[in-house]
Amino acid sequence: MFKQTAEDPSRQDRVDEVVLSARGLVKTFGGVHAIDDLSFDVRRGQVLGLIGPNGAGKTTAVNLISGFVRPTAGSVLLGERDLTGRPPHQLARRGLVRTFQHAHAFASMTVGEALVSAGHVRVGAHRALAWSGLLPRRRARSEMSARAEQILVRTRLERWVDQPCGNLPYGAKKLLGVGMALVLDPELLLLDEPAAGLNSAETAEVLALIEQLRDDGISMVVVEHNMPLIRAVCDELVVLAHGRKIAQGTPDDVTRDETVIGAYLGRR
Amino acid sequence: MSTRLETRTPAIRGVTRRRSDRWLLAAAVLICALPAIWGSPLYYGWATTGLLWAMWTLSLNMVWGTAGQFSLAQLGLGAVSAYTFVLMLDNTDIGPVGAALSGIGLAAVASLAMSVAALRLRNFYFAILTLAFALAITTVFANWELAGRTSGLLVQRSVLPELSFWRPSVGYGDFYALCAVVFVVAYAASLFLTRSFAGRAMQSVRDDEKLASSLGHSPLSIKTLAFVLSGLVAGAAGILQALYFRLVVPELYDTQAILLAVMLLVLAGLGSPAAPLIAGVLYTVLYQVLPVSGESRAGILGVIVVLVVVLAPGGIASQGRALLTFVRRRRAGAEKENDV
Amino acid sequence: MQAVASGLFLAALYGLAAFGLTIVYGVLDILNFAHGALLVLAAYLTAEFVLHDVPFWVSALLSIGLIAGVGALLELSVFRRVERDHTAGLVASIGVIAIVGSIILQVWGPEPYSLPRLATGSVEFFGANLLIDRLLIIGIAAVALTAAELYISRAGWGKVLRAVAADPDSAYLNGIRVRRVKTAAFTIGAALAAFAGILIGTASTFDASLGEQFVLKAFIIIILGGVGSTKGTIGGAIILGMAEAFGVAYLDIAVAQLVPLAVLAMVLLVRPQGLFGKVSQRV
Repeated sequence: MFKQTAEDPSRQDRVDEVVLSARGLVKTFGGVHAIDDLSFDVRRGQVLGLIGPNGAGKTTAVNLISGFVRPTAGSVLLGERDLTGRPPHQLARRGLVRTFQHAHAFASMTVGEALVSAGHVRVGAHRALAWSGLLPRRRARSEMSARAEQILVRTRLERWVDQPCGNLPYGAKKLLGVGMALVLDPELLLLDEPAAGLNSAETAEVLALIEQLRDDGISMVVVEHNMPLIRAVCDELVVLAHGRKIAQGTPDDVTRDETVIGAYLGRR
Repeated sequence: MSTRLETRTPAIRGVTRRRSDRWLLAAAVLICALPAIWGSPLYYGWATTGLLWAMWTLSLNMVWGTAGQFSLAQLGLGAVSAYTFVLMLDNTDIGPVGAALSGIGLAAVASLAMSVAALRLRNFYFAILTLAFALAITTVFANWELAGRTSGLLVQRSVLPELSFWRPSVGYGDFYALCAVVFVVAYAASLFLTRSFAGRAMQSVRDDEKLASSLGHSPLSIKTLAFVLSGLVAGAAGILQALYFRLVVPELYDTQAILLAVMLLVLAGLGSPAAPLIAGVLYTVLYQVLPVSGESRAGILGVIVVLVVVLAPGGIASQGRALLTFVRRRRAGAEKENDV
Repeated sequence: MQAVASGLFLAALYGLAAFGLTIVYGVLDILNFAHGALLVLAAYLTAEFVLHDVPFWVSALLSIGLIAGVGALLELSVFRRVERDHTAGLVASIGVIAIVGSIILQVWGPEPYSLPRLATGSVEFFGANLLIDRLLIIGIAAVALTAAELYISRAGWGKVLRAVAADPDSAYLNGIRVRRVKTAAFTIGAALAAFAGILIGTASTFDASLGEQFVLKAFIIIILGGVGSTKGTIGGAIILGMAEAFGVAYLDIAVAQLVPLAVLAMVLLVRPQGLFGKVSQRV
């Protein structure tokens, strides 16, 4: 699939196009620099890994990029647009969608309902005002269901479709988190530790899903501890330590980097 | 994966679960029609108050049950609407319909204003601010010369057209019919809302605000929408109540009444679409049918509420749902055996 | 001067009413609407004892003890079971209000009651006419609140209380018997409510609606002071008492009734964390 898109000339032109760029992000909490001057670009179709030891500021970085935390300085650009300081729902509508480290789910909905509801924004239900959602269009409805069904198959959650989200095992819940994000058809998918808290079988499922998404050409930023997973899916890594970027490069280069070994791998 | 899933695409019932809605609506109509069987003014009176409380709890359920915002202001919004209605009737020649519309409109405006002020606040603050708001409204009316201060205002019978399209010969039947129609319409609208995009968004925001906003729902505008819609229902309830008692008076909207609405809704099942129906029946039984003294009613209700909260969270509705699921499972089990 | 004195008087009553509520909210994380119900129940109980010729201070102590017992019982039987569910705790407390209100109406009826005044007479002070019993109440409340505040901030057990309020899980891991502390906090909160109720009863007549008036003001005070801060509660009580007293003195009576609500709305809009709260404070 990836090959096909790469040969597609229209797509080829856009390969170098920058989807997301973080420029000089700074976040201080009461004088402490949680993130200090973080910059990186994500090109279309690229999978960028964001790694670093515990407390390096990875989660803060995700929160900054996805709008959950307002940066003290610096900017976040989606394509050409400066979206710094915009609330998360606006970023999500413009195609920057994140998932959560701890699986979140809508407790009162079934998996199917959650997937369909997640698509509301995509069909423009809230584009102008929330109230336009009062008058759903029939076509939008069926389009949404179709989309949700696609995602359901892709995340292999079929057998849970009528189960309340709260009943899911943790691994399925995390897959559902990715699934709901996918329903929005994101320009850039921000995965916050997709494998955290999962056993090896569940991790393998997540890995398979991410690989599949990569092959479909979805741009992603993956924050993760699990190095085998990172190595398998990422073509570029950014390493954080104490809120600063200490290295950037291909997985092989980065893992050979002295600074990185000192700050991160050396401790293990 | 089960064999069934391989043979066809997984069916997502998704946004619509219309069947249960139809049943609920049918139940609403049926319950509303009950007193007409006897047609006695006594039963109409009982049922009318039941309907009024069903309306209050419907309004509360929209904002608290569906959107997760614990508002104590609903009766205050009703007061705004009811007083506006009566004041307009008395002081202008706008007519009852115009007065009612302006009352409901003002209640919606008030809820919008309150959303702007209160919705940024977290739960605890929100609850207290809405309670303060409701009490401020009644305080204003209780001190306002034009609104009759603490003795309130009477609704003059002469300004109302005769309602005569339902058993005109029998007591309050015609007014009861009006209440029933308004309630059923509001109830149907709320059921529709729950299944709509906006309703789903409200539930998303209620369940998990962070996740909802990460999926593009704006928590603030979703909550505002819920609040304003619930304000419309509260406004309608306030006017019907004023018409029923032929009186508006601050006591109707005091803390006791506010807490009664909360208790009825929780007892019936917070967040359940069936809750307003159950709450209306509950009120009618507990406050009208049962031969208990006025003082002990609230006490009995309090005891039940505490017991329900401790022993059966989810209220009556969830007990009913559990029973339904049980029956369905048994039936499904039987079908499977037949297939084999 | 007159306004300052009556402001302090109101602040004393509000402070006592709000202090117990702050402890309960901080430690148990429950919006205890029933706090006001316990407060007014204590006043009625005391009145009942006094009617049976029990000396006033014995009646007061008995009622405080009884209400503390009721509080402990409520915590053990109801609030403990809804620990992790805010809504359930709040609704249960609303149920308790209904029960207590119903009991009061059936036992004592709707007529207002009163307790014997602490003292009669008045003194002149800078041209203001001050009632002695009100001054006494201000003094008693000041002593009681200072003692309680010192106890919470200094004494070992106060630290335990604060530890549980700050983080029940790590308190538990540090060997604190969290459940017992919660029961104790609710009991203390109830006793403080009873204390406040009796003092209020000596100063004016009361009926069943006293509880809801005071519980709303207590909530406003908690918000003013910053949720969970006992010092803030005292500060909030003084601000609200003063605002109300000056409102009554200089504004139309109808407008004055809206002063507490206006203060609340202003604080929430400008500084939602409360006047004395920190932004990052646990809520």
